[in-house]
Amino acid sequence: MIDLSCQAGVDQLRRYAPLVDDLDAFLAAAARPLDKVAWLNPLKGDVGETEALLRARCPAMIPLGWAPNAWRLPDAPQPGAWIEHLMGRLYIQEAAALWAGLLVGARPGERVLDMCASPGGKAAQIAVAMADQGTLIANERSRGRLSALRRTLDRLGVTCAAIHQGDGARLRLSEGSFDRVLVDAPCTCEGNRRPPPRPDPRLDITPPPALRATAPIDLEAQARFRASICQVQRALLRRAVRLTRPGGVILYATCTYAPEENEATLSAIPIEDAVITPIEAPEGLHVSPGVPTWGGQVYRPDVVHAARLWPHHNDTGGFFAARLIRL
Amino acid sequence: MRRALSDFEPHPHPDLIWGWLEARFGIPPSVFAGHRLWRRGASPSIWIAAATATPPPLDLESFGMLLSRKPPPHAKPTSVFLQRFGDAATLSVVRLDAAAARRFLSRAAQPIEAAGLSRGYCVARGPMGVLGCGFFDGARLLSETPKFWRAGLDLG
Repeated sequence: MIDLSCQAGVDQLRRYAPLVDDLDAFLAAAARPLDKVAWLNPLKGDVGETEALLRARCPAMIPLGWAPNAWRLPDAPQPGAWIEHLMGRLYIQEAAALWAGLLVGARPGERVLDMCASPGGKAAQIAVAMADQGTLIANERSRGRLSALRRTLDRLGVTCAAIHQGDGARLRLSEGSFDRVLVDAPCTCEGNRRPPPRPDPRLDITPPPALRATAPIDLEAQARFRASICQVQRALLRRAVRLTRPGGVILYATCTYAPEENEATLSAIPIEDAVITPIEAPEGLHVSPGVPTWGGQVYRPDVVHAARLWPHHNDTGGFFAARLIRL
Repeated sequence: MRRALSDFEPHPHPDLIWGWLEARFGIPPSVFAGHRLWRRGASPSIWIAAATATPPPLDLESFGMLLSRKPPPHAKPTSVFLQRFGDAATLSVVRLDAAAARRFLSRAAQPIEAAGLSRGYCVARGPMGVLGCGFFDGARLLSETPKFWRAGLDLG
């Protein structure tokens, strides 16, 4: 995994120079601290009242603009410690991840699967979009991450979710039985490594004040990890496509820039099984299209309908999302 | 391979649970019109889920939200259940100011003036809404909130 606390780690992102419009701005943003973002939960209290509580906590809060009831929280290092947070009136989420949850487009009464659900932020967004009506299956492979998932859904007051522990790629459920499936796939997390705005005082660590000049990087280990995680991503997406009904939606998302983990994964799905449809970005959100080629590989042509978020465009983490329709 | 079937089934005595919630907390059954009660195998625990939700045929960790680990007359509502539905409570409600709410969340017992409140579980309500489940022992309010809530909470 790339370590953005050291210069060598940031330099690794230079491999994306052919994809990005402004390499220097990208590298600078990738290493810059990122403000927390909160979205307000209509399942727990009146959203207008929660907004007033939030404003009292963080007078400098700024509307995210391109997502409803979502706010950037400058100078709020640990909103997760607020009573309002404990009461489930808000959820703290990285802005780009928040967008992915919205892209699922879930509706009340639907049957939706979140294949890799912990810690539960996107699952909770889906439940809110469903107005807590229908069935949401929140699956998580790691037993150690289940408690975080359960606590999130409980805290946010969700009653339409079933939590299951298991490998999403081997879920023994009827094929074609879901209206929507979210594959928020495990990845190398290159886009999710921006530092917090200031050290969390609850953590007994002191981050380095500035980027270290060098750090040992095991490139072979990184390559092995990427190769193995790509296999996992493909297996998850293949299963997601099979579990979705004809006309249903599969949202594939990662928090990494790497085409090997994004466009290549999408290209492992036969075009006769699912098509990638254009993602319309909300006003105020700058997205970049998927790339048709990378490193000599040519991908399926509709990957250009996917969307990549670069951190310098929207002051978010890095992200990738593609919306597929099951045929 | 383990047979993957949900062991959640509709609760056989929902009226008993709705009746307890109305008698102890004054929450009318109409509040739960969009929800159903479930039980899990031989466990006495009671779960509440959206009426439109159905448990998938999997060996589930949870379905909906845990309402109580025991049935009436020994039932204790979970704090997450009260946070979601306790706004509708009209009985056994303890209103706390900001300082008392912080004490409650720190799980400290505190004496309260509670005319008309009978011994037993109650809804602890702070200035921002329902905090969770408390227990009134006749003189003091004890916090029945999960221990892990206290960790990392800013009560300053």
